[in-house]
Amino acid sequence: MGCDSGSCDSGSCDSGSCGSNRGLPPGMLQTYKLSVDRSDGYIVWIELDRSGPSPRITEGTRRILEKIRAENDGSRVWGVVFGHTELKPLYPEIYGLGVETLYEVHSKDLITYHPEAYASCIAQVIVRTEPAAFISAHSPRSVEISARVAALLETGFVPRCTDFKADGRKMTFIHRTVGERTASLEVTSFPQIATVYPEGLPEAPDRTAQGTVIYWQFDGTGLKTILG
Amino acid sequence: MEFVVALSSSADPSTSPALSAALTLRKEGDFVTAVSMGTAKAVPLLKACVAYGADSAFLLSDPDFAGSDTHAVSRILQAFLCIHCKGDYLVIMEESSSPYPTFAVPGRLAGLLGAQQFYYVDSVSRDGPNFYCSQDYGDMKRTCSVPIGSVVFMKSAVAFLPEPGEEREPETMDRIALGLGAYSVGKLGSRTAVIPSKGAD
Repeated sequence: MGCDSGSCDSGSCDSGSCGSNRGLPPGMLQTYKLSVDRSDGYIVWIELDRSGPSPRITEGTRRILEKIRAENDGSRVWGVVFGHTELKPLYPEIYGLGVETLYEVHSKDLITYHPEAYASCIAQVIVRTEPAAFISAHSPRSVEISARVAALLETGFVPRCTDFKADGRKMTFIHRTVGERTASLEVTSFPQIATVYPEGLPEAPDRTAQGTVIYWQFDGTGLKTILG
Repeated sequence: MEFVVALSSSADPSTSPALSAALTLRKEGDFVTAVSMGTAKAVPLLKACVAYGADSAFLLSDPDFAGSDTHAVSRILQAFLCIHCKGDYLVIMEESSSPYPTFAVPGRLAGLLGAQQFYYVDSVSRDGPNFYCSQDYGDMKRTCSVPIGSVVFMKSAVAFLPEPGEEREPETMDRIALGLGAYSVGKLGSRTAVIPSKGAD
């Protein structure tokens, strides 16, 4: 899978062999110039609740996908999920929520939450799929992942949204400012990244469907040293 | 070793968990640097940081910075770190109660630096050259090793610092001093924009 599998992230490109780090300050990651005219569709991080005996899709993620279903005018919908074989029972539910193609970053290491690795993999999938928007339910994890993905892709990020609307592939995000005040914001580049509080979004009914899963290779970089 | 405490202009240095952590971690030969972005309104904050024990303070200020979103703010901080920090460092930030909570900046900054990020940190500790932090995500708590160069984002908490000493003026760095172009900062360098609300018919 070449660079698609993340080999660029492992350092071969950073050494200059791919030439993509030319002119960047020391220590700065290679960046992807992704604000392309053909960006279209939605990509969602499928956040899981792993507190029980088996993982469950969080209610926030379900509501985000239901909202995308309502706003979508025929564009593609991708999902990214992290884990291993324990994810397979969730596929029908994920497809039933509107995901057409699921990118599963297949790694036992990533059953544990590692924000750097998660963000790096999501950025790689975004480069592959070229969505117009990357939207997640606002949570402690999604906001830090989305911020890092936005940095890697040099694009805009609007956290703490209460709602979003689509006009074709152009998004308007209703961003919570002070107290209950809101402001309408837009991201001026692609992908448009946001986290949205799910409480005001419609619930997703239970439904199942079929779809496509692509196993995305994790290159092993970006793992924290977790002591306990 | 340098501890860079990046504070929003609305922070209260007398109860700042980030400043308190940096001062606690500092050992002989280490430095604590306070930095903030803004106008002259941020000067009292930085003077107070020095009074509470920071070794130096920098104000990143330029009219061109006005209207910067988190993308532009992160680039400005990254430029400061690249210019100022010549050796090992840790960046310590904290939740802000300002109108625009800075949740996005630590992750953005860490992404630009290629550094690890540690959100929702309760405490940072040190054992010789090694650093550790405890994180609390609400549904998960864990302790991690913190590599040099990381960005640490501390949870909102009240920390009590010792009685302040003498204040000192911060050093100001503008866009040119930071080596930033006009299209890297401010509205020109931002990736988000407010959509003006339409008036009533």
